[in-house]
Amino acid sequence: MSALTDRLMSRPVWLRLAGRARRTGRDWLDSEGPRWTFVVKTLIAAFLALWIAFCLGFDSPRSAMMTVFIVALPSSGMALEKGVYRLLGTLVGCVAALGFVGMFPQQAMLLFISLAIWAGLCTAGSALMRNARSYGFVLAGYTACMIALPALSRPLDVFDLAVSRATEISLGILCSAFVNDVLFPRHQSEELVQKLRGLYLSFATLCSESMQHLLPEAELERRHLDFATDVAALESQRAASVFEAGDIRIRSRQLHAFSLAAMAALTTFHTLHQLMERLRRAGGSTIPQLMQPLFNEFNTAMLIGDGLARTAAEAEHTRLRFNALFRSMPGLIEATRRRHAPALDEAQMLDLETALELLQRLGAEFRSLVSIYASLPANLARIEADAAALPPAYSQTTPPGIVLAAGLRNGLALLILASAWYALNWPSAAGAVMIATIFCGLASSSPEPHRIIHSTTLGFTLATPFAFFCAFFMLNRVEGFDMLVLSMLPFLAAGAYLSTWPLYAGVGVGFNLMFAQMVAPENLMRFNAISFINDSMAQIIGLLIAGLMFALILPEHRQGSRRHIREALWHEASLACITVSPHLRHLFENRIRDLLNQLGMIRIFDEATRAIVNEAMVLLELGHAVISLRRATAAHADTPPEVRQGIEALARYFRQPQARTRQAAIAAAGAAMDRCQVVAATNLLADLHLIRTCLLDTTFDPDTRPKENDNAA
Amino acid sequence: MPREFDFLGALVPGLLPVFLLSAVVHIGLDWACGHYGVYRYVWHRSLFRICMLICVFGLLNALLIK
Repeated sequence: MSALTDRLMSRPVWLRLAGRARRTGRDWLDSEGPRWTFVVKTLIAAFLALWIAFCLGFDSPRSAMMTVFIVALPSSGMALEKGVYRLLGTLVGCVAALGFVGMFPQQAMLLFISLAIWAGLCTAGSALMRNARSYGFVLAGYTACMIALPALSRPLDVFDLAVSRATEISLGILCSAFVNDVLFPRHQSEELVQKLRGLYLSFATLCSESMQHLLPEAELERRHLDFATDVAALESQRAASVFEAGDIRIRSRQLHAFSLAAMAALTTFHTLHQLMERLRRAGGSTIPQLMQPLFNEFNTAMLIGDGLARTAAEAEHTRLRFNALFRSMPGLIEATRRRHAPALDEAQMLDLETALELLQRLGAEFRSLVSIYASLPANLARIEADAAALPPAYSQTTPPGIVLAAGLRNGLALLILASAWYALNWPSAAGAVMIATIFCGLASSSPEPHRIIHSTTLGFTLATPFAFFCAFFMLNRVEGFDMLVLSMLPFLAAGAYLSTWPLYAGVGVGFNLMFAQMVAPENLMRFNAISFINDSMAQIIGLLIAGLMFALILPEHRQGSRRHIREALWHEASLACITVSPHLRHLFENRIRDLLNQLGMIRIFDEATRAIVNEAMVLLELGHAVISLRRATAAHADTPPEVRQGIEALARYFRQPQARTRQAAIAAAGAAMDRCQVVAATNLLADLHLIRTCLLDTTFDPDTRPKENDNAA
Repeated sequence: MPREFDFLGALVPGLLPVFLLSAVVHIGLDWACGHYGVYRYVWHRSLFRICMLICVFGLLNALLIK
């Protein structure tokens, strides 16, 4: 036996066991550690809020506790962001409730109608935004109902109700913010850096694979969807990081510039890739082979060693290589042109010129992307220099049909239920009205409202027997706050732990909310089994009714509805032909990517989704070509009128996508090209050629495409 | 600033406007700390930030509340 084995064998047993225990412990910490940290910090914040609420003698201490469960999110930034918007929404809702009750005291129908309009407007605002702000909107809507509905029979109490609600919510938010940010900080900005690196890496990989013909077919659409999702995630993480202590908020501009540069470069890359693919599909063209040496140059410049830049420091190297490439590129292009021009006919020459133009654009855009990436960790003094070029922020907007439907659904639900409550004479029904309104609002910014409502219903139902047991078999025997904590702790810990699993998050949050709501810890506990059963039934019925509302009122108009997204895509393309804005290119790019992100939300990647992504990408190419044409024609007053007519024909086609308008657009583009060749306006030729090839491409034909079945979503 | 004052018929504690004022001052300080890179030299940024808020609030209280 070797000496080493001898030594190992001679190690005492307890030492070996300790080593094994340490390894097991580390494994457990890596996998379960973050979950239990979350549980511990949520419970500390919840009981802290409850304790302060008891000390200050609040009317309903449970609201403070429930607020903590609602804003409990893994990272500090996200918890702070949600807390701030919850606070703002509550304040706005309180003021609105005071206004409504002041206008219609004890006028049930008028109050219901005004509340329904208010809640509908707030929900529409929330469906429009789809970020943390949308939560504030929902809250403004339902807080008004929560205060105004109980005030119907006793209008003089409305001010006290509003003040106590606002105080309880603020207390919950302060406790949650303190615990999440100070005691257990987990900075969102660190995840943001990872996301940023991932975004660059996925784009560079896509370029590299395409240039080496390694990209599998049918993979492109999926990558575009993933990319759109990543850009949206980057934006939401940035928005959350702003609330953390640190310097993300002054880097917002840089981050916007980064995602815009990445989107622009991706579009140019896609256009070039599609041009090459179309030429290859048509067969017989030598252009792809002629371009290959240039592609190889480009690909080599992207690589560091045999990989791509993984960090900003490595991106600095890539930037230097791209600067070198940028200097040698005109020479390479000129050489390619000179060598191959004699052997090509006029049509092939046009293809070559277009491809070269696109490659040049891609080179410039990739260079600016890499420069922004490399300058991200740099000192802030360098940023001020290029702050003049203010890029528009990435903004999310849902198609209007979905927004209106969400508002209408919530308003109608509230009106119907509140009238039913008024006629029914079941005191607990107010709880059902409230819950239905809350969930009609909350679920309307999700592509799967049924899933949210289903899992929350499950959580509510599960929590009811446990809450009954805790309230009527444990709390009635104990005395003091510490015993209260001990009796509630196991149930709430289980709920919080459940909410750390993505699949059961809704169940866990629903469980804790219902548990705190039904146990209702108060300074002077009230034990009333009849009202317990009534209230818990009302809560669950409210959720079921919310689910029913989603099934009955405009069920097809939900987030990620493919029909609406497709209409919005064509509308955006037609806007690109007429809107006047200095940032039109970025705005258009943002809108299309945002719509793609919404399409990605439904997480169904079938033929119909692929077809829409494909359509979106062709519209993106067309839109960019039109915008570049419009910029060129605005700069030169002596542009031939045929170019302007071509743009108009294209705009008509975007407004009415039919075979007739399409033929007209193709003819107009052809006429404009002929005219440009006569007057030697070569700068316009590449864009016109792109438009014409896109329109002639038979794979892009919205008329012949089979009607997608939206029910599948 | 009195301990309590009458705001449109509702009694409001004098601490509330002072707290709101200190929150506004604090947002400005927080921005400046981020902008001039103060947070790079701080071990626990969040703790530093909340301590700043408490200091500002205490200072304003000492100066403003009678």
